[in-house]
Amino acid sequence: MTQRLAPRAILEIVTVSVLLVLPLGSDRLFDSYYLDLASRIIITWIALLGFDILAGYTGLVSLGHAMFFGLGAYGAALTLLHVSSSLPLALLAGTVATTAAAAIVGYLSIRTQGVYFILLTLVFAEFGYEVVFNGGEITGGQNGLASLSTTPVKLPGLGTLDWSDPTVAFYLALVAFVIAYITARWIVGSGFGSTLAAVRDNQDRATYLGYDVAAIKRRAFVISGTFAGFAGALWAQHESYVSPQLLHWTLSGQFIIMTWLGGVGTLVGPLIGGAVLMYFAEFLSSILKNWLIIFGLLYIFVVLYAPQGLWGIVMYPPWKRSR
Amino acid sequence: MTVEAILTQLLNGLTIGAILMLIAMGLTIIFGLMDVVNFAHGAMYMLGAYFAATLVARTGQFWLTLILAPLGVGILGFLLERVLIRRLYGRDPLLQVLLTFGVAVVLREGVEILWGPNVQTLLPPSALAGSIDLLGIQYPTYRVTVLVAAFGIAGATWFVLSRTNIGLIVRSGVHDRDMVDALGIDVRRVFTGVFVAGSMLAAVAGVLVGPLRSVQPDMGNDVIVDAFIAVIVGGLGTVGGAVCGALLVGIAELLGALVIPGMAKAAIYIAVAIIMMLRPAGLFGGRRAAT
Amino acid sequence: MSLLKLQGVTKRFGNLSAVRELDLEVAAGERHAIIGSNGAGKSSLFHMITGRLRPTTGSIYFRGTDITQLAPHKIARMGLARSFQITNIFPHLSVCENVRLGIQAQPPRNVSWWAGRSSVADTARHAMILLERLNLSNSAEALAGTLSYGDQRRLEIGLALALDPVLILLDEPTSGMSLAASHEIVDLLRKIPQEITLLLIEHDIDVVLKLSDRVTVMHQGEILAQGTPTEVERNPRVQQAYFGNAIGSTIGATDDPRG
Repeated sequence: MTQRLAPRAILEIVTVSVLLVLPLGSDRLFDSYYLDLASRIIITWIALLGFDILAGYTGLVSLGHAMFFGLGAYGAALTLLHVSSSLPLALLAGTVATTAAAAIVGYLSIRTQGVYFILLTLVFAEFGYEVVFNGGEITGGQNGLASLSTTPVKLPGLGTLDWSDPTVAFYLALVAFVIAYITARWIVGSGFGSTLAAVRDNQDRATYLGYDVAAIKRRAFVISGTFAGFAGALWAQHESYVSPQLLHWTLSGQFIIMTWLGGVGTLVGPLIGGAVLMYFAEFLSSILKNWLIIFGLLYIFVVLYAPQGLWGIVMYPPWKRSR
Repeated sequence: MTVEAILTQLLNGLTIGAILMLIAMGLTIIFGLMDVVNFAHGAMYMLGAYFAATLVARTGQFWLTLILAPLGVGILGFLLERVLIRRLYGRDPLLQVLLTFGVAVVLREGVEILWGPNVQTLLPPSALAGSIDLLGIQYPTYRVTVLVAAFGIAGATWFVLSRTNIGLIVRSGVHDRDMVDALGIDVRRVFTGVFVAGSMLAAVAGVLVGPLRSVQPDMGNDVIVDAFIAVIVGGLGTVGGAVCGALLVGIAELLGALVIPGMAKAAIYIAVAIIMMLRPAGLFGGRRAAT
Repeated sequence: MSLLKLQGVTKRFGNLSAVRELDLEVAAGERHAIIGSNGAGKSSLFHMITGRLRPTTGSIYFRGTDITQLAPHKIARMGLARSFQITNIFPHLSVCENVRLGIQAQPPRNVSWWAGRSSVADTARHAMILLERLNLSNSAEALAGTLSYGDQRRLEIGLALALDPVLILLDEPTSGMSLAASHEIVDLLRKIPQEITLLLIEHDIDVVLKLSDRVTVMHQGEILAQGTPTEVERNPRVQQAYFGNAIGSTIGATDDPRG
């Protein structure tokens, strides 16, 4: 195929290329703080991928996404504090715990539809938050858990990977994200992915074509939660600190804003939304503490007039759209 | 645990439930009539408290504020409905959730910008300071007033809904929107009216609760989940259900705090989740089961 | 053994009986039409066969298996497809994607994580063939929701065909269509291979006469008459109920009315 590269491919290549060399500029071209910010954005991207699979591709908006993010974070944190300071183990524990929770919550929530589904996920999210907030010694209560340390990994002949080194941490996040992104692309492009679209567009007809809609939704829910949990575990290690706020439904709300602003249902859109929001949050918070209001207004505009979001406008500008 | 302690907590729960009841009533009618899951409803409650705090601080008139603050919120609700909410009628209910959620975010941030992040003080009228004898215990006069006021307003709302023409139109609209339309009544006016009325009810709740709870920018977010729970438990669309749901939640929360401190709310949430899964139409069967 | 068998099927909604003690058999390869005025219980019948509703009493057998309590998607997987009276397609997906969803729903071209490139190409090929038959090839990339009503109705049937089913239930396939468009649909249905059995609900008598070899007439939840189109046409009870003696009044009743 000698066609021109699709816009998305260009974006993907450029982004990864820039990110690969980003650490080189740290302390030379820009303050090292921005490397840290970049890491956090990339980790959030992983959570957003999961959110878009559920909300954008399957049509299920969950206010419990933050709960899974926080669960992954706490799972990793507790592992690091009480079991072992091996990072891979912590990541695994956080992710697996979240997958299990997502399976349970998903199985229970999928029985409801539409508005009731959103509200039920909200109730579960609040439950999770309350448990962690009031978890006393175990969860650190409202203060959370801090000082999470990981042991460096010795690579024979290559040196040591110290996870607390900003550059190492950045590449860890980047590698994790690339794996997550490739996985997400594969999922939505697979046969299973097309059934998600069917469920989103007309789940009634999908049933009468022979699709087990409930099972498809459950699977999507678990996949989505797993992405969030993995991201949360990475976050815990990166920040070396977890707090109940990571589970609060208002964080799910931020995921919603990021996703819709960027372009729901495109995988790339939410990433753009997330990057823009988090970047400007850092910038604007010194000028305007309540920077979120700007994004709130933009978000309202998008919901009403441009539901395809930023990326949708790039891909299908109004003058090109055939719809 | 003495009888007095239990009784006090029961009354506290009733008070909070009464506040929640005003919020839930508006929320449930807005949903029942317009299919709008109004996430911004908590913001109306918050704005009621904030308007009241400013008005009382400036004028020292609590009772006047109780009327003016909700009116102010009503005007805002009117603008909101006309400019934003009505653009999404008839479309995917999901979009409405998303929209009202955005409005809630903007209002919360806006309040923090205008008033700052600190807690505002809203003082009750000095005439209502102190406590009175109630059922053998000393209970704060102001709280008793809140109970009386809340139930009074709820009663008045019930009266309007069940005994007046407007109420009949609203109830018919909840039942069958298209029929009301077919009868030649401007449904859009009814929608606006209901949205404004619901917002004002929430605002009144905010004014009443101001002296009891801290008036800060997160109060809207803090209450909206409980409001949804009350509405869901009672049944989306039924006012009576909302009332019962709210009182149940209030009492459960506070009595629960006595029995299982810290985990009371968590236990309530699990109970609600179970109800939602088993009886999505609520304990009193709302207009819609899980659709 | 009949392909589809209903025994004593009853559906009550509270005090209302939509369907009463209904026995029906459809043989493989048959083109069987169900007619009757509104409220006769035809749609309820389809809903029960496809699993949307549970019969209050009675049993339904498909290919020898009792499907009475089976979930709708499982019934569909057994080879029982259905088209809807009110168009029920995937409006935001392209026409081609619509059809592909139907094709990949059934083994051996199952939805699969591991769908290799060859099976994806295979599905695409089948989709294009089906679109040709439906006369929708030109609209393959268009969003299904933007199609004209007639095209959407054809896609509606196409979705059922895509399943490569054994039995298709067609709920008023020509509903709301002009004469010319109806003829197109009838042509389409006529070309469906004999291995696929058709059971259709229709109001248009012409369509019924052109298409079916057996007709069942329903009235108030019960079967009023059954037989070939001509037999049914001449049935005096049927005439009385529907045709008001206008059609088929040439010869008097020659068949005994069957209940």
